[in-house]
Amino acid sequence: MNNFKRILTIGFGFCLIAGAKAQQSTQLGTFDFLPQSVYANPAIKPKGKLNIGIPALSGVYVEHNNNWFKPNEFLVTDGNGTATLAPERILESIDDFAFIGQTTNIELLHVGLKFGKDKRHYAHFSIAERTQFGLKIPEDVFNLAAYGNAGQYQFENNTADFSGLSVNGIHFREYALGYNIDINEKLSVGARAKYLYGMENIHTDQSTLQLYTDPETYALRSSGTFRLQTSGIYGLVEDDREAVQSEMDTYILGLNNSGFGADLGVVYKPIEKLKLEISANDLGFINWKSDVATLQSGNAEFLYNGVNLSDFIFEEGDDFDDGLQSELDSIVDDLENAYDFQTTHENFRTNLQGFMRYAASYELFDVNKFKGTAWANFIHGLNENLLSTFSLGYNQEIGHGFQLGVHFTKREASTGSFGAGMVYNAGPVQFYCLADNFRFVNMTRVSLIDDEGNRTELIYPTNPDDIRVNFGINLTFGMKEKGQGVTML
Amino acid sequence: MFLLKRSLFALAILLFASSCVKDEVEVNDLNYGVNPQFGVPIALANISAQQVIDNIEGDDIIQTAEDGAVSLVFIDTLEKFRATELLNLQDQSYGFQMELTSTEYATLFGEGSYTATQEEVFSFVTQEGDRLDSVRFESGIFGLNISSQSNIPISGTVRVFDDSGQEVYSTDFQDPSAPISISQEENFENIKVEFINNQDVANGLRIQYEVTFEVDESSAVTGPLNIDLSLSNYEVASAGGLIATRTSSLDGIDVNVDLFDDSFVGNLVFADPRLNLHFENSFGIDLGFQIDELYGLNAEMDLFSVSEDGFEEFPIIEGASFPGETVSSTLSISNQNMTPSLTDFMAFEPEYISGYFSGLINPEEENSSFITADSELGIVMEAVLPIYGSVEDFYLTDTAKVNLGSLITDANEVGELQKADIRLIVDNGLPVDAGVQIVFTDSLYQPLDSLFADDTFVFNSAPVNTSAATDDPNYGRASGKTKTITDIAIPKDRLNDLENATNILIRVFGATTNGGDQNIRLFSEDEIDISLAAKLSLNFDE
Repeated sequence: MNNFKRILTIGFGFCLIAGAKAQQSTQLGTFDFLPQSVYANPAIKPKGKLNIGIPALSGVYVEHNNNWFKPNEFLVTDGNGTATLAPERILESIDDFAFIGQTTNIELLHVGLKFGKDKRHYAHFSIAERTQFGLKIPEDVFNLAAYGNAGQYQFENNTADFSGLSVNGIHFREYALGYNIDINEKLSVGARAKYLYGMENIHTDQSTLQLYTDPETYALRSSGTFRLQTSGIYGLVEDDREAVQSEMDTYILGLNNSGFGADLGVVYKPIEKLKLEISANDLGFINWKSDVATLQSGNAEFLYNGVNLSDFIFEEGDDFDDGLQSELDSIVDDLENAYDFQTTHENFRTNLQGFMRYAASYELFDVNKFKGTAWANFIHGLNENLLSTFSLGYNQEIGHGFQLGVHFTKREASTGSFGAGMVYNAGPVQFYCLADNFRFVNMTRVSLIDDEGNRTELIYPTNPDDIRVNFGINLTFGMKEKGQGVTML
Repeated sequence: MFLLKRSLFALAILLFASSCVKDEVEVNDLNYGVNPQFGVPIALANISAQQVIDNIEGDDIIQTAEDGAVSLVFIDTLEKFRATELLNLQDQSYGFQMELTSTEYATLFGEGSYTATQEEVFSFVTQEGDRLDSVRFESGIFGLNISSQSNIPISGTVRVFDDSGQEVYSTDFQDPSAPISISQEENFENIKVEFINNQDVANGLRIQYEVTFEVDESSAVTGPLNIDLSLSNYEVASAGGLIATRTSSLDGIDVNVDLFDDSFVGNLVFADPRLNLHFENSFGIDLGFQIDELYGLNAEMDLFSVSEDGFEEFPIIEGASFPGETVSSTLSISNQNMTPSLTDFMAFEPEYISGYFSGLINPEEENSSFITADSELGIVMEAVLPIYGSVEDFYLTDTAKVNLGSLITDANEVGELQKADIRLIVDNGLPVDAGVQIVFTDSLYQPLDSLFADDTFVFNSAPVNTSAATDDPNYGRASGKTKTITDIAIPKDRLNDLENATNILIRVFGATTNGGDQNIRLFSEDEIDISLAAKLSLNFDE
């Protein structure tokens, strides 16, 4: 049990710096100046003939999701410094699950090159450090904390359902080799083959815990199972095991967690101004073999309906005490057997959180180096962990050095928002920033003041729901086609 | 264009590079804003009537029949009626006078000796007028006294003959010198005598006196001989024949019925009580049984008496067929053969039941009865009160010491605890409604608080079978369970008020089904399920 708690604690801390749900900016793929567009659809051919990402700066993607804690809304202050949590507001905002998560991807290296007749071919190579972490808490956990199991809230079938309580996180390095080709004027296809090097993983494999409370007798019955698979974490929490992180050489390049992945994509232009895209991304898996551990509960079937006094209710003195102690011991034994977390060390496999992207864009006009394009895309995950996103936007290209875009995004279980993106080419140096919304701009400072006047501050987005920012610096060459002159700023 | 691009770029940088803190929240005190209520079961118990029976002190008064019906049984064992009390035989004495005739004297003096033999039949006398065929004497003393004014030496033999002509006893005597006076006693053992019974004599013994006179030089005075033969200090081993009808007093009964002591209050009705009298008769005599009086004393020392007339005639108690046999029989007194009824008698709630009995010996004057020294009549009286009836408005009270100090301290240490609601869930399979009230008092028994504001039933009676006939053993039997849920709110303030409580007065009250209007039967398998749970209301606001 202690190891389990420690893993959860570390995982929760990990949550604050790591990733939540493997996704990307919805705008990625709409800016063809950007070499990183291939991550949206490997069939997209960036404008530059040669693209080199500044190591570790070419692609930084940060995504933060928190659908239940908004300090401005969920702390109600009375003006005298007394703040009260508003659990009803939290419950209204989270629907079935509260989740908090973060994704951070850092591109370590990116090189892309067009080649061949008419530059029909584009190959690229990239290395990226990818981290994702998510903690999903079923609504009934909050209901139980706020109302209790015998309060005014009526649990469905009198059961607090904790199914889906999960903590998932992954840290891996992706080595990708991509290629696309223009089959003809209308059709392009592309693919990225990836080698995946796993470093840490925490994966909730089974989570079906439930707690039933009898409405009359308050008898408690738990059921379900909980199974957590980890790699690279057990050594951190277990004193008699060495953490894989302690040997840096092994940790960086020597772990036995290998996997493979792929992205596949098609771009089709039925007519000149219309472009249709479809891609399957992050298809892949990793086999985890280093420092693996699986924590599994028993069948958590435990019924407690009180101390059964039937056998000794008529005893007196020491006989009664002995009978009571024996009954209590029996209850404790049953509880320990039901929640007997066993640790095994078996290799396991996890799949990447793949997703499908469907996009369409239409060139509205192209006049004197001003090109306006309307676009829309829809992204959905290949498993239930990834939420669907729909975006509608407009990009304006100004000459060969500037692409601006605005869009509206609505993600499943989140509020819609407006975002913007910019790609600016200052000569070969390209700066870009894509923000799906501007929630990271509005921050709230929460100051906790103790009795001695000591102040502890937390600065947190006012609305932390689905914050996504993608930015970086590239070197791009050959943005202009022949005859168009050199682009200068 | 160039300027536009630069401006846009600068604006973008400013926008994305600045993190604007627009809202401030200062917190000096944080309230969690939640007041959850957690329900938790505490304890449960399944208690059957049989379990209660097994654990009640003095549980030997509670008995379970084969079908599970429960009864209260009070037993008293009477002192045994023995043979010596039945056959009251006194010492016997037979006097006889023997005088020679002149002719016999002439012979005596002429020949110097003369032997005279005479005999007579005497009756063995009994007080009750028994006509015994035979008696076996285990032991006894024959006494012989002979006296005379004559100075003629005598010697001789006294013989006793029974009806079969058997000599059952003889003794010799002599007195060679004047004055003639003989007094002798002789112990005897194991003599069986068959008495002579005819129209002239009852319990007859033929006694023969053979006396030899022998004259000597001094013999000159003549006179009759007075002979007395006595039978005394005898023990009868057995006797047979016609034991005369008579009435003998039997040992009385004295039963203490704890059920009706001072702690019980209520109107209790036993619908089918019985007094069973179990006889163990080793007399070879049929007996009749008679209750001279049955009475009860209640807690107020009132008397309820039932005389002999209130009981119907009881059947004969059979005697043994042969010596050594013991015949068992039972007489039962119930509502059917007692007026007023036994139910009315028990409704009087007698704390003590007493009675006087008489035994009618050989009521049908059987000729062939017998008694042995070991014959005895044992009587065990059993008052059987099946738990079939009703109780109306019963209550029991008790007091106990209590100290809630540590509990209150522990509760106060849990600052978040605002209130505790105790829930009592009873699934009752007993045909009884019951409630409880607990009053907390200080050391001077001044009330501080009570568990309930008003008398509250904590469980209601199980449904009972009323479709069967009233004499059906299943009539009034519990046929299911009734669930009752009672919630008791205990806010923290209320608990603090009990800090000075040192005593609790417990009052349990109730009635059988329908407020005591319905007769019910209790069976050992009837059971009650009790669950105790608590709902804790927490307040996490500081």
